[in-house]
Amino acid sequence: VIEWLLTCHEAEHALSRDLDGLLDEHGRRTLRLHLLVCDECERIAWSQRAQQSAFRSLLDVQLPTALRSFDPDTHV
Amino acid sequence: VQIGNQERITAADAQRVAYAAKTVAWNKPQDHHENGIHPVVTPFLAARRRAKDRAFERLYRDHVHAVYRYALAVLHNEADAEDVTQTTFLNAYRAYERGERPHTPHNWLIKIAHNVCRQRFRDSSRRPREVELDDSLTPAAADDSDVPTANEIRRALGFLAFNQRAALVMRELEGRSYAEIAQVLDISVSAVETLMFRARRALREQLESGLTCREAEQTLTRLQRRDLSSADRGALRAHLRECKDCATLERRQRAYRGTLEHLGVIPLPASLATFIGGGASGGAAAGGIGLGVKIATVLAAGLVVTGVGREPLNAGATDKAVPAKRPAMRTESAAVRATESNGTQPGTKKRSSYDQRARSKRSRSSAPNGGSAGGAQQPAPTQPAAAPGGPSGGADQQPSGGPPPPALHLRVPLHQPPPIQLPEIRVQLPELPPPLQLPPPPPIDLPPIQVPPILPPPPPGP
Repeated sequence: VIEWLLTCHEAEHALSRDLDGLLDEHGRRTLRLHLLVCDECERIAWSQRAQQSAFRSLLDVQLPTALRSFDPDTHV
Repeated sequence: VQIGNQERITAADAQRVAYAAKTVAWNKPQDHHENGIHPVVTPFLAARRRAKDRAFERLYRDHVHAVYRYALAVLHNEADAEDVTQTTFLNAYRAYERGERPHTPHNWLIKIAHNVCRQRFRDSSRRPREVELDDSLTPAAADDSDVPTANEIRRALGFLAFNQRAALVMRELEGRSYAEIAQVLDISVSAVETLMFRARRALREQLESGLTCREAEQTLTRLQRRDLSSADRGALRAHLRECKDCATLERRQRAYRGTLEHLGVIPLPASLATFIGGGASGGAAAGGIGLGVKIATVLAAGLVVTGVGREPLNAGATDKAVPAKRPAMRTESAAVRATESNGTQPGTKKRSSYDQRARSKRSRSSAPNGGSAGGAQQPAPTQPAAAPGGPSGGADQQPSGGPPPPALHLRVPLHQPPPIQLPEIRVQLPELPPPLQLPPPPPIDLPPIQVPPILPPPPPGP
């Protein structure tokens, strides 16, 4: 049973790995078990996922006019 | 073969250039192009250069958006991001001219951009910080959704360490693997994993932070008493990243604490190591005798001199050996600590606005965790040892109405110190050598001293 227990610090670490898809099945189950019993870590997990989705909004960036084409003579 | 523009050509190309060079003498020297390539003489090289430029232009169009996006996310400034993008492609173009052809142009360009960003970050940390007007700082319309916006993400990223924000942007924005990030940042893959974990935590703390300087100062005080939850510690860390003054205050307090802790680790002298037995060396020599043995020795010597018997010594030592006041003092200090941690003293129990906001955010959590404030328990009062024959000693500790308990006689056996047997020391002094027979000194012939006659003083003048 002890192998299935995670501290909150370990759970946060595992959560970061899970967001990157690096957690195996055993680790994912262990993390899910911890999130079931720890409300603070569950809130952190929800917040991290919201951050990850919010990062996608940074993709909408307009390129400045000065960078439309590259001319090394003008840059030099 | 190497010519003016440092382009490597093959032997066949060299023959063609040599053939074309025969006509160069017939042309005017002012026809030379400024980049060193004569368009009439070397049309082959000029065509190759144009093809190379076209290839680089294609590379530029494919990746300029990603490079600019990366620079903007890392530097949080459009002008800086534009400069960094131009510098990145200029450096890439020079490397391209030297003949460098990357297998993965995207990684190559991002690595160049990262180095340029790092240089820009170092330069900007030395000069005064320019803060541009940000719409996100103005109070916007209340948005109930807890998902952060792009501006909030950018602003929070600006407070992170440079490597943290670079790793976060590369991972979340560009979807790079840990190995690619490790290659760009020149660190190991496991270090990238730790870096990502810390960067995500720091970003979350920045997004959730809302401490004022006054609240941060109060939180620092609670930090010294080790009375902070993990959420409070995160809010404090976030505020210290934003506020340089509070960060300086925290560093000073930490240094002060460290100095005080160093005062507590003064090494104990060897003679005070134990009370009864010998020191670590196990012997009684060289000052390794325990403190108790020394005291007993002094007392015994004094008693032998004054002729007092041994029984009163034992009785006195037995009475003194019972530490009756020690548990009471501990109980009192524990009670003080419990009061402080409960926050019942006026002025210490002040919940910050961040806590209230955090609590409202954590409304989903139904069961309280029972933080550190509720964990302290009042220790049970200990009953002090009653003095033998003194009925008034424990009177106020007894419950009212009940019969008084029998007098408690405590007799703590005192370990009798072992008899000291001093070794008999026999010192044999070596025999002194016979006195030296010095020859008498030769007589010294001094010349006679002639003293000049003393003249009478001159008569006084008129």
